[in-house]
Amino acid sequence: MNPFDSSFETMAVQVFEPDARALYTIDSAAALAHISRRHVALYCKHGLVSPVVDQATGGWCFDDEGIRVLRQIEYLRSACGINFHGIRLIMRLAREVETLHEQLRFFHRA
Amino acid sequence: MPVEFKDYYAILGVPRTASEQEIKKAFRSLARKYHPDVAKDKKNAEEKFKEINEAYEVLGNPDNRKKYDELGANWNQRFQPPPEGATRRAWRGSADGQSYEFHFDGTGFSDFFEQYFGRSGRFGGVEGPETEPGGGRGVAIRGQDIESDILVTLEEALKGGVRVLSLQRTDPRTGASTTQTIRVRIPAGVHDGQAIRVAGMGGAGIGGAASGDLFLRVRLAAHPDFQVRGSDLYYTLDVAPWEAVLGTKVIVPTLAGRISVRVPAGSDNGQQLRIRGHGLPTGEGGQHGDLYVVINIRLPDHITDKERELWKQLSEVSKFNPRTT
Repeated sequence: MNPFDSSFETMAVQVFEPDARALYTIDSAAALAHISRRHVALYCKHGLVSPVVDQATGGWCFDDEGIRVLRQIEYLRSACGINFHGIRLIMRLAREVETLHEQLRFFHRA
Repeated sequence: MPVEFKDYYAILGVPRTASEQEIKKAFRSLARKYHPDVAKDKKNAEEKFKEINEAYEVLGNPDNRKKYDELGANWNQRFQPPPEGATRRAWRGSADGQSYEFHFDGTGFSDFFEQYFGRSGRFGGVEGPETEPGGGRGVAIRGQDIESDILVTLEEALKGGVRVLSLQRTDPRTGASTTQTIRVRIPAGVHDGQAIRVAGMGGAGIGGAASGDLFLRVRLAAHPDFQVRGSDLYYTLDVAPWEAVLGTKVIVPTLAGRISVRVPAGSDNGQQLRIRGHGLPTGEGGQHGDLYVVINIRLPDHITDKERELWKQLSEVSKFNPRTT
């Protein structure tokens, strides 16, 4: 491959094919979110994050949204120093706000 | 980085005093004209369609419209207060804690929209931990996650698509910019609000730690015919008063083509007719949501003398009284 070939730049473009249905086990989710397995289980138990059920195995897994939420929770805990009760309140409010925005968007377009 | 003001009123071809109904009507008319599936000049239509959608995202929402009008009134003033949530696009990627700036191209939204109306600012764009004063040398910190809205048409959401994004990173210390182009396949079956994770394309990590991820938040383009709610579709069916009273058969569009629907006699305004299985895929075992046809009784704009006479006769003959108190 000649790096001075004009087509080289095109071929160097990275291609990503994210799998919208990708599911991660609790161990994988913990690794991706950089938190302990125990914390992931704790957050699930208290409803801070909603796991999805893997249709094939029946086990609890996490999708990309779950990874995103776990990282947010960990950021609130470690970087912002918010305690568990505060995190639970914040995440509940955030979900409610998101739901309200979705409803508003629907009704404004109707 | 200064953004260019977008004139959404001009894009929709409505005056600044336009009512909500006028704006909705203008959007639907333009969306039908420039919809990628029906437009003749598809390449230019796609850009125009995205512009129309962005304008409607703002002007079609009273809160956004109010904010936009205030923004527009103050735009030419020298001092521009930093918009709420503007810092969400900045990430801390350098050891001394200075913030880089990201600029996205190809998401379907302009920088102007993302800066002032993007959803990701509300609770997202997780910022990495503050670095220690003095640079945090020796500390490995994972790069920050970055979020951006991405405009996806209903058809793209159903069938999937490929989007070319360019990510420009500007170092505020040096002013130097690097641009990286990536191709992201939008998976089939995504729904509004879903986050698509593009691994490793977020902020660079510090001290050898991994990069953060890019989360693309799907925003379904407003469709000229349907409103989307979860996996269900809603279609507003305009009917004449006598059609609602006497019943009729109409042809309505669906994603799979046009179908015949019976409007029962005595259908009230706002009543919903449920057509099972004609919604969006739910993502579970080939199931689909439903299509709801919403009855919207319309009155004629003009009536003849003869029609007026007939309505008067009806008012004298009918015992119907909608007001019970």
